[in-house]
Amino acid sequence: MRGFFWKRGGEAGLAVRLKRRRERARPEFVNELAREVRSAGGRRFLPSRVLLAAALTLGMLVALASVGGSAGAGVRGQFVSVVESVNNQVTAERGVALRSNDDDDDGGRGGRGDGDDDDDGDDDQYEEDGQECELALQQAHGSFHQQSFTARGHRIYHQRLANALDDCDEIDDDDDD
Amino acid sequence: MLRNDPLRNPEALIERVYSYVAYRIGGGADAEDVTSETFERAVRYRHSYDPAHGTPLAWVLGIARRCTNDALAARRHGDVALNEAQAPGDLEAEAADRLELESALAQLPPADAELLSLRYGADLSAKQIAEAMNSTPGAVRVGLHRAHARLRAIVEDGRQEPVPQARIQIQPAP
Repeated sequence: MRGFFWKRGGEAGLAVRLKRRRERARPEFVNELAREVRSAGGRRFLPSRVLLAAALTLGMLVALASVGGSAGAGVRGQFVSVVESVNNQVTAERGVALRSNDDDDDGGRGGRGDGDDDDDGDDDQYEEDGQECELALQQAHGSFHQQSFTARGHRIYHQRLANALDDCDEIDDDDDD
Repeated sequence: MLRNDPLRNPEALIERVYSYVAYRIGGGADAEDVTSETFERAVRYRHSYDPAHGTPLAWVLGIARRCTNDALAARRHGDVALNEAQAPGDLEAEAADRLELESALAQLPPADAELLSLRYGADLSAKQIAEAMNSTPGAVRVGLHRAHARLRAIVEDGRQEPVPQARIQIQPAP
C-alpha cells in the first residue's frame, strides 16, 4: 500500500492530494468566533499611564500654584521629588510585572496591552491598570500628607485627587464592557 | 476603534487560520481550540499590529504558528491526547491515501511540515509564506521543493531521504 497515492499522479498528484487534505472550518464556528472578535473590537484601549501621569502632574501644578513666594520654593522642590519618586516606583513595579507576564505576541517588547495570562476570556489588564493607577494616586496622596502645604492647596489637591480616582474607576469599568 | 484594525474582517482570517492549524495538528475540536486561542491573542494585541510589517493575514498566521507550536509541544509532553485519524468505515482508496499522507507528513521535519501547512493548509502563495515567515519567496520555493522531495521519499521508501537541510530559516513567530 505504501507509495500507492504517490504513484498515481507524480508531482502534480502529490500537490493535489496535499490540497485535498485541506480542511475547512465549520461555518458555525467561524461565525461565532467572528462575532466574538467583533464584539471585542469596541473595547477602548485607555492610555492608563498617560492618565496617571496627567493626574500626578495636575496635582503638582495645583500645589505649585497654591504655594507662592520664596518660602514655597523648598516645598515645591519637595513635592516634585515626591511625584518623581512615586512615578519611578510605579514604573519599576510595572516593569517587573510586565517582564514576568510577557508571554505575548508583541515580540517581547512588553508595553501596553500585554494582557493577563489567565483563560477567563477577558483582559484583566484593564482592571490591573485601574488598580495600579489607584494605588499610585493613594501613594502620592500619602506622600503629600507628609509635606507641609497650605490649607488651600491641600483642599484643591483633594478635589483633584477625587477626580483622578474616578478616572481610575472608569478604567476598571471598561473591563466590564 | 483602531485605525489599522487587522481584525476588521475576521471571517476570512479565521478560515485561513483554521485550515493552517488543522493541517498541522488535525482538524476538529483541537484545531478549533487553537484557532480560538490565536484570535484571543490577536484581539489582545491588535493595537500592536503595524501594516508596515505585513498584511493582517501574515500577522495573524504568525500568532497561529506560535499557538500551534505550543499545542504540538503539549502533545509531545503527553498533556493532550493525540487526535488519531480514523478511516471512516472500510479502508477505501481515498481514506487510505489520506492516512498514508497523514503518516508521511507526521514524519517530516517541523520546518517542512510548517511550510506545507502554510502552502496547502492556509493556501498561501510563496510570497505570502515569505511574508509570514520573514523570509524571501525564493527561499520559500526552495524550501517547498525540498519538503516535497522529502515527503515523496518518505512515501516511496518508508524512510527519510538524506536530503540536505532546507536553507530557509524558520523565524520564531512574533
